[in-house]
Amino acid sequence: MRPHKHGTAILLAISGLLLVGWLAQSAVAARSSGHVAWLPFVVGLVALVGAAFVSPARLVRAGPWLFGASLVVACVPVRYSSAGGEAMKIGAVAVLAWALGRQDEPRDARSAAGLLVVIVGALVPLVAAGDLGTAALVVLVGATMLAHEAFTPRAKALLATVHLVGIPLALRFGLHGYQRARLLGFLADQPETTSYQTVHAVRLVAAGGLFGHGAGTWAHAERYPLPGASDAFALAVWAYERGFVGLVAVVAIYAVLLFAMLRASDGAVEPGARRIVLGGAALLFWQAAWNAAMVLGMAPIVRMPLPFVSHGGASLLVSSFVVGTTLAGLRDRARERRRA
Amino acid sequence: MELAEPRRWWSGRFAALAGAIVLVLVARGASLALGPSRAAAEASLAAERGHRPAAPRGRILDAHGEVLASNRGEARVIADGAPASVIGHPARSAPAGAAERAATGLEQAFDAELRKSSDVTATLDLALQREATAALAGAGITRATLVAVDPRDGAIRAALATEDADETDATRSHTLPPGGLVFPFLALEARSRDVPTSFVCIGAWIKEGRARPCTHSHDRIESAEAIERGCAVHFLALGDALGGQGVTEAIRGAGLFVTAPDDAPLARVDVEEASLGQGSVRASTVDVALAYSALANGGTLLAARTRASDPAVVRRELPGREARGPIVAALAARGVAMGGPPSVAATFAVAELPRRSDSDETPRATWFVGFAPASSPRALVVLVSEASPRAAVDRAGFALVEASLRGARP
Repeated sequence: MRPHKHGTAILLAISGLLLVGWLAQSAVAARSSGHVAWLPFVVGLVALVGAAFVSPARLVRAGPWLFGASLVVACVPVRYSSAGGEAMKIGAVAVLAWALGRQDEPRDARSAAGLLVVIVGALVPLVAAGDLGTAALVVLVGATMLAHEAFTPRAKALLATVHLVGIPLALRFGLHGYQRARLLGFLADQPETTSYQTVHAVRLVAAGGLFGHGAGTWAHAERYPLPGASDAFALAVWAYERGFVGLVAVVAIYAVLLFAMLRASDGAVEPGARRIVLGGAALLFWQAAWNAAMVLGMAPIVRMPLPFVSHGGASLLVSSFVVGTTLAGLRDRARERRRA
Repeated sequence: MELAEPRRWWSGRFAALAGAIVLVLVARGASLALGPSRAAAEASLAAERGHRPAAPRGRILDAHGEVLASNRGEARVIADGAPASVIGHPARSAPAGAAERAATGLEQAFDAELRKSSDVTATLDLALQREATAALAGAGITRATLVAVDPRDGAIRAALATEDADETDATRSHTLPPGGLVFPFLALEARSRDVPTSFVCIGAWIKEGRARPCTHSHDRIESAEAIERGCAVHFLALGDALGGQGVTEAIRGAGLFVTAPDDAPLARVDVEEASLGQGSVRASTVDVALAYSALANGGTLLAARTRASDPAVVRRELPGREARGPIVAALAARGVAMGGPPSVAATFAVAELPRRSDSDETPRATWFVGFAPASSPRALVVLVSEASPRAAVDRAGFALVEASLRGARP
């Protein structure tokens, strides 16, 4: 493993994504003659630097406490606040890493049941608050983390059964009526249930062509409305201005970030740290992939910001924290190598 | 517990899955940004190299057999008065290969048949289209979009955009707040949910320290009468009774858009805005035409139809459709109050648009919806202008409803 190289790649990728985020936010702000809010970027930077000084192993040990705190935050009803969902992202990954790192492999059915209880516990306040996006993200990240573990056949059967039974039940009883209609309408490809934002985001991407219309052009493109452009659909504005080439560049930066984080996970010193870095990588990847799929009309619309690019302090703070934790893991690894 | 040695490429399975997803996303982005389909891209390349397609492209005909789009030499020609942007071209004459490349409109929708040299009959009525063009020009209406439909089957009979001619069809893609046009659908939703539907108007809506003025006050009235009077306070109260989810479902149930994120419940101020068809509510002229067609045809929300041979496609039934009778009667009375003929049911709405950064004035969109005969409608017209006064919009609207009725099938 080469911790320094992976750390450098991660820092370069983050810088690139923050630049894309700033330019996309500038394009959105120019349309309303506003300015880009710089405070979230400062908060994100502070979170990144702060997390880089916290050993992942220590973070994993605090997993149950983080999960408890995120449950409290998620249960506080704050209208239009995404703090609960964002806190739960960190809490769920930390507690899963803690639980997975302290058990022997292969895990039996009782261990698998305990892990499922943790995931369901994270989902309950999210579904109750109507935060379908974060709930889906917790399921995807949880599945990714469990897929890298060894289970006994009975434990595998239990996990498969819960998925096969639980997902239809959740779709039937866990969603608001309009959420279920939107989701099933999307799956059945009914144009009238396709969201307004999807229709216009797809138009923007198509209108961008190969090289895009150039910086600042979206401000005057009044035929291309897109509410929420600074949040979940910042990538559509980016594609309109920078074209398919710009879109591929962003995808490539995420690929570099994901690769470096996965290599950092492989080389982590301690089992819990390995899992929390993997969980962090999954957290960033699934958000980015779902967001891009939404913008390209391939996924139903849920609250799923694009890490480092979408507007929003809480999202940027959590993404920066995740990357800071990875950097701390690489630092620990480098220290171990020097000691060896 | 410590692991003796990290397993090599432990997370490789996830990396492989992520790589596959990234490839799918990039492929989708490429298909969107670089062309509607491989066949269209090949035709485009052939045209640019000066090669004509092997077979001449078929013609597009209107509902009465008049030619809308045909070939003249190497060019694709759109008939005078036909809506070029609806057919799929930014201009009336397109160079060779442009029709094959068209990514929107009828050229794209009928592409498979047209490539086989087959003629395709559209639902458009060229005579009505020409009348609409002349009516808008005569009334001096600018920055407008218009749609005429058959409310019985969703057939688009005329579609027009002034100064909005784009590579896309502005009647479908240009969306505006529909304003008070959402009132009938709130009333139907309220009926289906069994919430109170009669309210007193004291001349203003006052809630949590905010006040919204109304044009007049009156005693307790039902929703149908409030539609006839255009009482905003009644529908603010109704929206309050329905709540954010009820208002959202009423508007989306009629095929109009609420652009607020699905997962975020509407705040009170947003519910008020949505109850007035403002804020996060948007609709194109086609959306409004189909929603009011549902009111007119007995409560069935249909999909828009542009090919004459296609059957009508039912999207869903309006909630509370059995209560639509009094609402249609109210629209008939409102049409008379607007100065229209007795046989035409109509309404209007003036919606506020987002303020432009370079102006202190609040821009407005003036909507007209009319259908006739009010008792069993065969023609429906929706007209919206972002620049013209209401009187001109109403005048042109009523004239076009009558013109549309004259050419409607029995």
